[in-house]
Amino acid sequence: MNRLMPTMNMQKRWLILLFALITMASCNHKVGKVPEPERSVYYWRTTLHFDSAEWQFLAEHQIKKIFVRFFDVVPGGKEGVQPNATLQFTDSIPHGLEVVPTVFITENCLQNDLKALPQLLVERILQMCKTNGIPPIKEVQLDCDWTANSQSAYFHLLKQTRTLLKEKGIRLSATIRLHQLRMTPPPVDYGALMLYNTGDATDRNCKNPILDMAAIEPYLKHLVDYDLPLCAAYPAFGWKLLFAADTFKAIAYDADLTDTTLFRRQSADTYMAVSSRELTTGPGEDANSAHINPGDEILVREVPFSLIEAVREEVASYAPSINDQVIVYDLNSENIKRYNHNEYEKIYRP
Amino acid sequence: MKRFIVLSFLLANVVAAFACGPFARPHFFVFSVYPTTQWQQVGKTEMVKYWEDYTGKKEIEWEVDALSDVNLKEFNKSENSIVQTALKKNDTETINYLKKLIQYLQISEKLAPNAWNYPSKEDVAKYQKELRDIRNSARIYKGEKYRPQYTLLEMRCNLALGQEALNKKLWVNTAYKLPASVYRDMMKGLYANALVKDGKRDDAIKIYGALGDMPSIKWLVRDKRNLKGIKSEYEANPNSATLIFLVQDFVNNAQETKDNKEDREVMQQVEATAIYNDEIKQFIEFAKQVVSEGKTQSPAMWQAAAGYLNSMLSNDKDALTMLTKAMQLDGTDRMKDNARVCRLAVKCKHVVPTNDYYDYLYDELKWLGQKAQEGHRQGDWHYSQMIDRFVFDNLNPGFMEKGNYGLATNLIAFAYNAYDLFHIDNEPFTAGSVFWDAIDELSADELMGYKKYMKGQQSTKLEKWLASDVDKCITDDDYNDMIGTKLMREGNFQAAIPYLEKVPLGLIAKQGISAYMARRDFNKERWMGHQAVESVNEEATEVKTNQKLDFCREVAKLENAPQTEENAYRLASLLYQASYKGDCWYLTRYNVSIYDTVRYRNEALLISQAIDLLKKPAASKNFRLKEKALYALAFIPQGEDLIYTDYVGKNYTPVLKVNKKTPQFAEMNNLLAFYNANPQKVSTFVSKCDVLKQFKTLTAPKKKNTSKRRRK
Repeated sequence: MNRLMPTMNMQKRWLILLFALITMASCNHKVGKVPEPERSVYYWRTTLHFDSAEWQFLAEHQIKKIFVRFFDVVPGGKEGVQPNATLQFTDSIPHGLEVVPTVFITENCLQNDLKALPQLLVERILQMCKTNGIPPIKEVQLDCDWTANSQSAYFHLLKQTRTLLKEKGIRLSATIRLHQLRMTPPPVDYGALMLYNTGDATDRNCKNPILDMAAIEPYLKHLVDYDLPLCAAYPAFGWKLLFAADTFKAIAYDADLTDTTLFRRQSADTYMAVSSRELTTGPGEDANSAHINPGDEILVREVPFSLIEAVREEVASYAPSINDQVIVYDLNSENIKRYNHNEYEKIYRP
Repeated sequence: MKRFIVLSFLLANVVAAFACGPFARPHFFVFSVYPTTQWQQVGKTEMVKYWEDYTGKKEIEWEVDALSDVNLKEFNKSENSIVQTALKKNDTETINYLKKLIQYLQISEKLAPNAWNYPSKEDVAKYQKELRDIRNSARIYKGEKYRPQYTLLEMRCNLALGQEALNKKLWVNTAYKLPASVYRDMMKGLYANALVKDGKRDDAIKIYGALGDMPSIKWLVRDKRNLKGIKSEYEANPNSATLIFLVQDFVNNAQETKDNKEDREVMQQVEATAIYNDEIKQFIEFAKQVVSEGKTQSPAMWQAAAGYLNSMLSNDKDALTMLTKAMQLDGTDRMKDNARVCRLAVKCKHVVPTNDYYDYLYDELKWLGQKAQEGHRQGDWHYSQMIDRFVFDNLNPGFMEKGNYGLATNLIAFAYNAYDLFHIDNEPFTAGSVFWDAIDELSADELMGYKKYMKGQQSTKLEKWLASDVDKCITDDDYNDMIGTKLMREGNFQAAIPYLEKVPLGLIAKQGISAYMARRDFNKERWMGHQAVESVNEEATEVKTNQKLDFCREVAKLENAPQTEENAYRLASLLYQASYKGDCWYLTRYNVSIYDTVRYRNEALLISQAIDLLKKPAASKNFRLKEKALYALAFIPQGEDLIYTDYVGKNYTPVLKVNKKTPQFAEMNNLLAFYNANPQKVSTFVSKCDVLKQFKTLTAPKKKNTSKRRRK
């Protein structure tokens, strides 16, 4: 390239310079930053209770924000949509921790008449905070796996909700799934880019269903001119996937892989069942069960820290401020053991 | 298949275990050592009945449900008939109870964890105080009339206040002494709930078992529902109440796996967990060991489980031996009856038309029928479901295969009667009933055979017993109408005439099809216009003539006349009208749907016949006749849709397209060619035909690409 430059005429040189300037300008596309970024975690259970390890994790890593799933919204009830799996408060929020009430809205809700929903949502969230002694909130987050079909209804819901919250001095954020990067950004104050669930957990050949660089790569180019401030959410969870041959049966949350009467280790991430058993296949009260038969296999899927590091860097090369606020998904005593103290510190550093 | 679906829908409210949704045969579980009484449902019925008796009104379930909507501040103005009746009677005792009940129901709604209105701290405190007040009112009630209701209310308040321990005391000290009632059952359930909180799972399971509350038991033993769990439970206590549930659950899960043909995907969708052969074999060995050890007080249950599971492994001979033995072993009456039902299930798998087999079935079905009747009185549908399962899955198809249509059909009547939906001997032969559908599905010949069978060809006591119930409900008029209709359906119009001549108009007037028969004319060509019947006119009505008979005479006349182009066109029009696509479908069937097709044994292909007949006039030199025939051929749908919507591109833009693969394409093309050749001569039904215009547009050759670049 350099060797060719002296042979170019002046006009061409100017053109190249102009092109470079335009390109640089677009790379530095300013969409603002996430307001008041803090080290954060998601809390995604149906009962609010912290054990000592969780308390310690929050303190050690100076977590300042906790995105707490308050309830889900599902179709049903007199209003056409209704709350479900509302969080039961059996513990108080650690002092100094900002709570961001988070509500998961199932996509099929968006086919209903949603006129009343923004008001219902805001009132319920605020009342839940008040009843359970949560200090005044600064932010609410909505989570929905919306697609092109539901985009318009969801954006309308976000707009109305944001207006209502703004009147009370509360901002609105929303989760952004990778596939949603290809579409117009939602009308919120900022987005939390979910850098997990990138593959198909039901496909036993998918080695990295939680996070895979190859799976996220095609979407990253959209970050360059994505017209919404973003923060990043990284996974701390693992999956124990129960398969009968190639058929996915369930996520076996409670499978004790050290139980040698039930499992025999076949490789680093594969365990074979040697007897039959009923297994819990869901967290908390939502648990279902699945029957495990001799010959079934549990495939352990986790994300190595090095991969999170690599993804962090790669994402930051497209959106430099995205790691200003990092949310770890999700807080529980199992997950916080997955990486060591220093690794979590690296995940959290801006 | 349709009859099964109808039965499923009819019974949706009474059957206990739909494992597979309403569009498949339900997999009723054979092994049942717990009563399957749906006490919540029975309880609701009893409560509704109480208020029905009180108000003197029928069907007020919705008003019972609506009590929680009564505005207590305007109680005296409430339109709820329960409240109104209490006010009218000036029944202070009832008024006071209703007010407390309504208040409790409203608080419960407000405290529901998933209501939109999340309660404030103050609300919670206020509601808790109100609950305590209601509880106090219940405690100080001195009367007798509402004693059980008030005690239940007190226990419900305790539960809502998180004071389950009080319910334990209340039950032990007071509630259990109350007379048996639905309220006491509900209190017992709350007591069991308190026991669970106290860690007394086995005691709670006994209570839930007696109440038939399977979901609660299922939840409590969720970690033990497998062979290992059963073994550990047995080791801890060979007579644990939990074992009764676990054994039943294991056998039922194994049955569900077999009923679903071990399809892993289906098993993931149903509630049952899959049990495969290896585990079944291990269970059988363990059950044999349990029986031989002699520690269990219920060897009948274990032996029956091993026997029935053996039949799932196709070891039917061993299974029968084991099940016969199980009937003699110790256990509850239910367990012994269960062994007998399991034995019958195995016997029904192999239909053999021998005297011994008929006699065995006579004894067992009669017994099962009596058990079903007893069960109904207690809200237990298990034995009815067994009759249903054995008849539809084994006996009806088995006897059909052996050529005994009479017995096979009467077994369906028996199965239908087993649910006591109506007493077949007291009711007319009702269209739409499962039994009626079974008769409707027979061919004309089979129905004639069935009639002969019913008139005295039953040779065994089983056949005579089943026929005696059915005989009274089908009249000769019914037979003539159905045989005549079936002959028409099969294209034997001449043969149908003598049967139809005997059918009185009064019989047709009672049938649903009369609404259409009275308003439609088979002489009109279907392709020239649809004869709409408004839904308000769909009630059965009187008819002036039996169109079936008129139709047969007309067709017979045409069939015997010279095969002219005109006659062919006329016959095609008539046959098409009588087909399931025609307006006069009621000539050949008793019901129709837009998804209908040729669905009866021996049914004539009337639409194909009409198409064949139309070929002749379509080639006619008579312009008007040719035009009508071409139009008719283009009109008659054949195979896939001629014009359909396709969604193209990234945005899934809808685009209309023509399906060249469907035979109708050629017919429409012929009509288009005829139109193009005679644009000025054709009738308006051709020139103004929307579909033809659309077809013309869609098939018109596309203009050549005329971009500037190409022109260069």
